[in-house]
Amino acid sequence: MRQYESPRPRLGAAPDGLKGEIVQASDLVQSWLRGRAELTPTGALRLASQEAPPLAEKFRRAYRWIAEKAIHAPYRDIEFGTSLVVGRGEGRVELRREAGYCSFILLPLLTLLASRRLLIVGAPGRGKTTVATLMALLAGSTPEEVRRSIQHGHPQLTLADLLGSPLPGVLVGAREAADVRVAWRGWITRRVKIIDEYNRIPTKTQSALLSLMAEGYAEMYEQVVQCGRSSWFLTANDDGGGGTFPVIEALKDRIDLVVRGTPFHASGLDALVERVASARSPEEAVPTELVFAPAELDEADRQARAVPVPPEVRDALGFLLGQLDFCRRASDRPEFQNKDTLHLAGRRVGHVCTEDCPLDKHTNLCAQTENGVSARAYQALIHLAQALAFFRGRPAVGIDDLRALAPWVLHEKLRPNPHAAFFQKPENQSLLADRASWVVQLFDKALDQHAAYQPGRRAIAELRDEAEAGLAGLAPAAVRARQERVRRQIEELLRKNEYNGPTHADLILLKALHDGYQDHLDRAEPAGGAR
Amino acid sequence: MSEVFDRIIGHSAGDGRRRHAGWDAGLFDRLARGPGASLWGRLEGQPHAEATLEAYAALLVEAVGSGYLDQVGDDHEPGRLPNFLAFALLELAPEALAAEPAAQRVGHLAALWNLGEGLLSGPAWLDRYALACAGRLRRVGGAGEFLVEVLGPALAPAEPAAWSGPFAVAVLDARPVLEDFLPGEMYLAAPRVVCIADRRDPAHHVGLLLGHDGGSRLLGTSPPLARYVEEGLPPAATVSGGLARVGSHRVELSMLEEPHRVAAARAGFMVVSAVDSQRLWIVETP
Repeated sequence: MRQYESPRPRLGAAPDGLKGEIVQASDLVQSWLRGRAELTPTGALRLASQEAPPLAEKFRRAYRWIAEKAIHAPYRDIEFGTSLVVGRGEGRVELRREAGYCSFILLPLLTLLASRRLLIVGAPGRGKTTVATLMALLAGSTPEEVRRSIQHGHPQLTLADLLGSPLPGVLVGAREAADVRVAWRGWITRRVKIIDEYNRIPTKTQSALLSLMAEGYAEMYEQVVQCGRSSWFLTANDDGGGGTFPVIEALKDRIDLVVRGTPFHASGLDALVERVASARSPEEAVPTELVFAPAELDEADRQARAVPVPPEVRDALGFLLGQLDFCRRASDRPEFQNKDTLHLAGRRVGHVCTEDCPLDKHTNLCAQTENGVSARAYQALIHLAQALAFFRGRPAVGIDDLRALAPWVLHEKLRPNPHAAFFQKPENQSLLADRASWVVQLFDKALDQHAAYQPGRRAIAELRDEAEAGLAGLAPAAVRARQERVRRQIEELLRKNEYNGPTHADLILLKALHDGYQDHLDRAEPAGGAR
Repeated sequence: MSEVFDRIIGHSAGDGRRRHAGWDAGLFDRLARGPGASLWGRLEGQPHAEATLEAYAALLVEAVGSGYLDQVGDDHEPGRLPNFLAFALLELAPEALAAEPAAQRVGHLAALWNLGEGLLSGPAWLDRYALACAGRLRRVGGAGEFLVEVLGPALAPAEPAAWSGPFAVAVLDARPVLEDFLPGEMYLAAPRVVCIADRRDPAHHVGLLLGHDGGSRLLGTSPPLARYVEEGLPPAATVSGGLARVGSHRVELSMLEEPHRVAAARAGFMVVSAVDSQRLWIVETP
């Protein structure tokens, strides 16, 4: 039988250290009566606005509203948390312990939050323009303003159509270039810019669009208009070359992420019937409490950029992306062992990724890709992962944030090598069509490898940390000792490991450390001191 | 309903849809045509009737849009309301607002709103307690005074009991509040309020208001409340089997076999839970 004493320690010394506060009921009631409801001088009721929720919560509310009221999309393809597997084989389904998100709604919101550039692809009628319009409305435009500012791509779209032109009267009366005033199109300075069917724009006009997206300004008659901070939403029915004009590569490269319009699901039929009956489109009903002022969008992005990216997360990301560009057969020199070397020589990965390369084509990720990823894509992925962590209310970016976004950031940037042995397996062939799943598979494999390689990479990480701590006050002999340790580490790395993507990345790092120490010694001993 | 009523409610519904992300058109319509219509039935033909209905509808829009009335059931019967604000808007105002002077009605509505929202901004037990007492509130104009009157004793610092007897025991069953509730950790959240966690699911809590002369009552479910720490030492008490010993006094706790947790308040209360029961034994002494 248990016996209990009165809980003496609890009273007077609670774990959270809260002290009892004496509150008078009359004071409390009086303070409540000074709430947000009051009478105007004419005796009418006035209700002040509720205190604005934190910005991340406002974005979450916007997501919920769109998902529940505006776009019926039950496809929650951005998932987090551990999974429970149901079924087997092709009927296998993973049920997650955390609620997932629909990429078609979440990614446009993150684009708005981070002022990035999103391409929405999909067949006609999938809601591509609707979702872009919703983003413009959330940014404070009226439906009429959005309608007028959408740029519709078509084969006759000229520079003047896109950017504006001088008024004829001004042009006739001008005596010199400085007299010409361009009437710029209003959409250029809007916070949200929507380019519908961008792959139907003529190539020359695409170049002007590129300047706007890449440089943030347009120039005409020696006059310049600045875009200002903005998020871009481009749509295309088919981004695989089926547009009227091929999209210039540089323009494609400026697009930070791609999302697919989701197919209609029959469970949304009731909502459609109701929408037809009410004759109201979702764009006409964005609640005012969800509308962001420009300063709020700026502040949300500032807060998102402040979300830390822990070193272990950076390391895991670098481990994946560092492998993609590696090609052992491109050159004998480590510095040129990348796929750009091949492409500049007019060759493709499939030409060299053969029996001549001793690496296992099933385990080494370099074999699966035709190219690597640019620093711009790295930046976009990190920034958007910060935005996602902010949206989810996480204190720091996690691997799961990167994993969720990598398919959409790399969707158009990473090309598969269709000749890779990996894709010859029947179970992997569908990944050539489903690039999002292909990138997730690359990410997951890289994470497994990262964990396996981790013990052997600790010594390299220590050498890097030592170098990053700086050389101030270090005698040349001590620097030479460090350099020698780096040299020995290179020897060990090459002796103990297969020469593959991860080894190559570590080798390049160690070689740079060695060169850095040499550079320091050269400056400290310009006359060529003892080595 | 009259044309005026339909116009005002229709306009308010449109306003709610435009402003609130969490807008529940069906709920608003049901409440407007239920309690709202009841209020209009009493106001129609009186001075300032339209202005009063407009103010009421505006508050109903705000309450629905803010999610304050999400838990209101189809019948919104007394005792099943989610908070004091719901009581004020759906029960009190429709019944009693028309009895107030016409020129003061909008002001009374503003005060009701502020009191209800104020209660929601405080510790959850406060709103629960106010709602539990609200059945005694009859006048819209007296809501402020009523809350001062009922909250005063609950908030006032407790005079320390002598713990010298006489002792009385009350037994409360938590089952009506939460079917599967099994009392776990217990701590003071106010001088006379105990917060009790569910042993099976620590995310669930129930509030208990302590009152002398058998006046203790369960306040319903609540989020976890902040701890309140009393000054001074609690009584020297032990509980074993079905017996509580306080100093030299022995108090029988009938039906209690093995105690689980004990919490004490210096106002003269000791709350005991059992390992195998949903009941709470409350020992009280002046």
